[in-house]
Amino acid sequence: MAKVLARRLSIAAALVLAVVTAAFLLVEALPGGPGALPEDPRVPPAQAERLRAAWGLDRPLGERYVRFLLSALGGDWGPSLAQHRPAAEVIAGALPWTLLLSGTALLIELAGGLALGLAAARRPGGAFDRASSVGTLALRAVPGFWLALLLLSAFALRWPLAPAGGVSTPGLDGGPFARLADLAAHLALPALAIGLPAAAGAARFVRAALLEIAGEPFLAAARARGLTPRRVLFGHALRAATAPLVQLLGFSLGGVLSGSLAVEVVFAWPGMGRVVFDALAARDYPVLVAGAALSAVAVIAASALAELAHAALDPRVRDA
Amino acid sequence: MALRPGRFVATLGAALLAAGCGDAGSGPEPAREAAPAVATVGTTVDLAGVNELVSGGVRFTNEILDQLFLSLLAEQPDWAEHPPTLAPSLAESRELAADGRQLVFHLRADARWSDGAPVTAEDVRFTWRAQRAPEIAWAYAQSKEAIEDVEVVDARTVRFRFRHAYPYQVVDANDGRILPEHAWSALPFESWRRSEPWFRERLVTSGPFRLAAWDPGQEIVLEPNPESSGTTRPGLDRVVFRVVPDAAALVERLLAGEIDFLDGLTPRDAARVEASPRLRLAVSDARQFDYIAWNLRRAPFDDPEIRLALTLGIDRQALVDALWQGYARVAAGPVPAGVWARDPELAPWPYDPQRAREILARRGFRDADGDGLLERDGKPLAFELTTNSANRLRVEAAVLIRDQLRRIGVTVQPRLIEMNALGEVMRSGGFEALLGGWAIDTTLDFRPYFHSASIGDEGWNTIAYRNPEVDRLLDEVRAEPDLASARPRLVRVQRILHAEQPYTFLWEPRRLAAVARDLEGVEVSHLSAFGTLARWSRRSARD
Amino acid sequence: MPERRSRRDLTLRAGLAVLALLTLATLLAPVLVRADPELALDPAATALSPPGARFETLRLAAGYELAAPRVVRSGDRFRLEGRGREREVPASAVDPARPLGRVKFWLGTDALGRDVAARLLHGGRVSLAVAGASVALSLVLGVPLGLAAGLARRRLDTLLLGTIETAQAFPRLFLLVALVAIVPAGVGTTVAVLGLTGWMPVARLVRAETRRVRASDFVLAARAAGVGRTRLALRHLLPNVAAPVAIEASLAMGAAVTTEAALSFLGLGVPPPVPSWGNLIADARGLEAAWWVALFPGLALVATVIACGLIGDALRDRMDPRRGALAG
Repeated sequence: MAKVLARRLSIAAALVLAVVTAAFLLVEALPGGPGALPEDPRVPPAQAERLRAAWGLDRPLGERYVRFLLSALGGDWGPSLAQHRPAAEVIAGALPWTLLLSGTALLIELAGGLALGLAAARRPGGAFDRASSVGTLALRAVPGFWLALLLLSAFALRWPLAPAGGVSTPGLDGGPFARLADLAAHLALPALAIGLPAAAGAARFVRAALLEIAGEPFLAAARARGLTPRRVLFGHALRAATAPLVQLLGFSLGGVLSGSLAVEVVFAWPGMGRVVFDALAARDYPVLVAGAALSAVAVIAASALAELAHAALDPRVRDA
Repeated sequence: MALRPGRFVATLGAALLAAGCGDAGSGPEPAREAAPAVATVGTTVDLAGVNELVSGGVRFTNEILDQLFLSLLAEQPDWAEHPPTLAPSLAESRELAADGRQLVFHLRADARWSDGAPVTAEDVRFTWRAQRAPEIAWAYAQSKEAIEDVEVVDARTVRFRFRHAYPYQVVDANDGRILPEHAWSALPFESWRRSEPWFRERLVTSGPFRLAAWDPGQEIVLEPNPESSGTTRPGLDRVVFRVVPDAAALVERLLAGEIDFLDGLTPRDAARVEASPRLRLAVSDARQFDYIAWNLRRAPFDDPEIRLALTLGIDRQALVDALWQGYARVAAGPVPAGVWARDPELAPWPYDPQRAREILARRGFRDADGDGLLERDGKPLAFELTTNSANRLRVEAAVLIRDQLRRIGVTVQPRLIEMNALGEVMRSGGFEALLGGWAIDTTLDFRPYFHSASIGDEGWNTIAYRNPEVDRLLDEVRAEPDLASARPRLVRVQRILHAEQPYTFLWEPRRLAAVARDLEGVEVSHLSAFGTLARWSRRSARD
Repeated sequence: MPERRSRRDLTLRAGLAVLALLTLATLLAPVLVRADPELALDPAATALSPPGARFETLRLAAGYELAAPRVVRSGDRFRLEGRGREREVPASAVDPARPLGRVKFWLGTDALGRDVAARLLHGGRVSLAVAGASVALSLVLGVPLGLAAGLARRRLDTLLLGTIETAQAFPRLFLLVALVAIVPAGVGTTVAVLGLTGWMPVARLVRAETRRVRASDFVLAARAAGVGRTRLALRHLLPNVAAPVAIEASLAMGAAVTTEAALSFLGLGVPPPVPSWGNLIADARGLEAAWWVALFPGLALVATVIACGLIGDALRDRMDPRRGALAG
């Protein structure tokens, strides 16, 4: 077991190294120099070269790559060229906001998906199943950024129920409850924009998984023993459907860090997507590479976790 | 107060605890003082940093730093009749020696940093040393090139020695805010570019405000500097700058009532602001012109007649009407209308497609195959119009210009490039025509764009414009004893540019800002959006 | 169960019908709408007109048109009335052949006075073509790589799988954004970017299917009969992986339309003024009052994705008949 784990870990490490190297080289190839030059005719184009020298970017590529790897191993991803502070700090500042938004969206996805999928699977072909089938089909197809725009113009502008963006109301003085409520209000629209289409997809997935299991002999046996459909559903089918659900969770987790850029843009949410987007505009190399590395780690970790959980939960996989 | 993720966890924990004890925050309210006067300002960009030598350059950061740090002199926005005046600030007086090469500043006796230390001549010398340090590579280091040395005469007297005399000496000596020697000299210059947090930890300010809080990407909070060297004490207790990266989202928050002041509105937003009962629109000059630069290295743009025909074929008034809804003027040259050196007889070329077609026909461009488009020697008159893809207004302008030039048989293909890549394209001259904008310098030094010495990496003459007379005039402007006497030469330059059209000067936009009606003392100028921040006050707070 | 089959066929037909209808409408765009999708007709007068807005137009001798709610001739002048501004044009400046015209904007106009209906249909051409081409590209890349990995011996398979996994672990957003910055924006670039970042799931799927089929009896039999590797791949394996690939492709098509729109929305996709659904939605930023600018292209987008999803679902049902009913 330990051997298998060590093998997987070394593969994961190699993957991360490959991604970091690719990101480093890709960023090198971007046109334009580092750090935004002031848009001012008094600053000559040659200033870009002087800045490169001040940053040490005039050194050969190989030397910079080795230096970068060594200091990255020590946890130092270099200084952000646009914000003049450690790149790791910039990423660390954005990460909690993305986790908060994606986590909430994920909750909406799982809760909504499970509830709808269960309800639909209870009576396949029934009125509710048909209605939810059409509804989820349409909702699943809605792009998050467009939904974000619609939610913004409807619930922030026409009927102002929620704030138009950001994470807090300026100058809000109040107790922890007031601030928590304020945060929740800011979170609502972007989380729905990401979570609702995902929930529709999840509902279809849950329904299909349940129906597939419905054909399995052990459920027929349970029904034959006279268990109520409710007991069959919650006692047996749902447990058996956990494995595909975990798989679904793995998919969703992988995209958690980078999946919501356009929604972050619409709602001015200060998350990872936004940070990477801005870093690209400012040619902020260290932040870009650090952001790519972190996303890669998330994707790899999520797929490994899903694989492990899948193996642990599904006897057919476990015993194979 | 900012709600940081870390603090969020803490408050959440506290809230749960409180709820668990059955005491959901029903403690006695603290005694209420008079509500503090607060104004909220919106911004799409964050403060880049507190040290202007590494973080300065972006307009918003410069304007915030103006509230934190003072310069020796303060430039005034009064340049309608004469070059802008430089009012006393940290320095109460100055004198230029008879040989024109020594400039002495006398510092005010009451000038203090926010920790109580006096502002001294040592600060001025330290600032100058940092400004020219190659390890720091300050963007404006060029302005200090002619300064040989800065000498501390005594604690309140500092002498600038120049290599030669020229009209911008005072401007150049004054360029850049004075930095605190006693707080910041411990860090060697080579570490400055990676140590913004270090400067924040040791931040002392000399301006009317101090930095009370800065939550990157979220908000910047300024509060009055108790030791302020200025005479005016701010009328507000707190100014909160909200960072909302998306301009459209920012406008929504403005209209939703979350923001009291927002600079840089688009004309479309301006109409919405005017419709809002809570807001008023502040309109000022922007010290900017937008242009199409014709790359003179490439035929047929090397021909001034062709360039003139293209200018005549662009209905600039229609563009101003459609894109700016009246909040811009058609431009005639690099000096905006209403500025002291503007040629009073200069009028923009009219929209005259008929004459444009005649000129093009004289130059051999005809519609030989009857498709409505002009050709010469079988080659169509077609070009790419390059612009910044992120600037929505310029993208729209490129689309409309394409429609207009098609009417006179010219084919335009808009080419939209991301900002950084655009910088490369400009530097290398890799474009045919470029739609851009310049914020002009108040010294009206046009050498960076139109002097032949600025072709290449030391200037922005990206189109390789060469005119010996313009070169000579621009050099002579720099040899005048003061800027005001250079006026005839600046006027002559404007006439030559008007005749030769190396640029098609498109428009001079107005600067549009939204101001809450109960906010008083707001004066937006071409220099600054909140230059008068120290004089802002809240009507409702005083009632 | 004939009932199930008929429903499945209905789903498939509905999906195909919607997709065909959308494609046809965009192909017939020049016939269906007269307006030039990229031409701004007198923008100061027509910008942001709601659906159904009508204008009268005045053709000038200089070869272009002005527009206003009403154009009135009085003596030797034409007067343009309505919308606050009045303008007058001397008759001498007007095209004498056919001075007056009318125009109706069925779906309104955008911020530059361009016809939303025309942009919607012409934009659909671009969006659908970009999505189709990019899916084709990811198949061209993914299928051979997946086949090769599935058939290869252990070491080569590990190498190929490693390549696929690296490419997949690389954040797609980052890749998209970086590629777009390196290569000048354009329709071709967008296709390449979408295809180059979308082939990995196809390759994984084909590899897994290949490995499954490879172990099956008929392949073992073919091998025993001395069938060569290439022949085996082309004649026996490819047809068997075709069905799952078709499902993946139809779902990828829907995803590609969305991704193209998201890219264009962020200013990283098809460059304006070329219309695409993403560009149209991006044009609506900050114009929330003019709901028609964002609504119609969004609906078209959703319809496309739904159709692709229906086709994918129906194909999956057809492949995998092992479905029962829970309560049955």
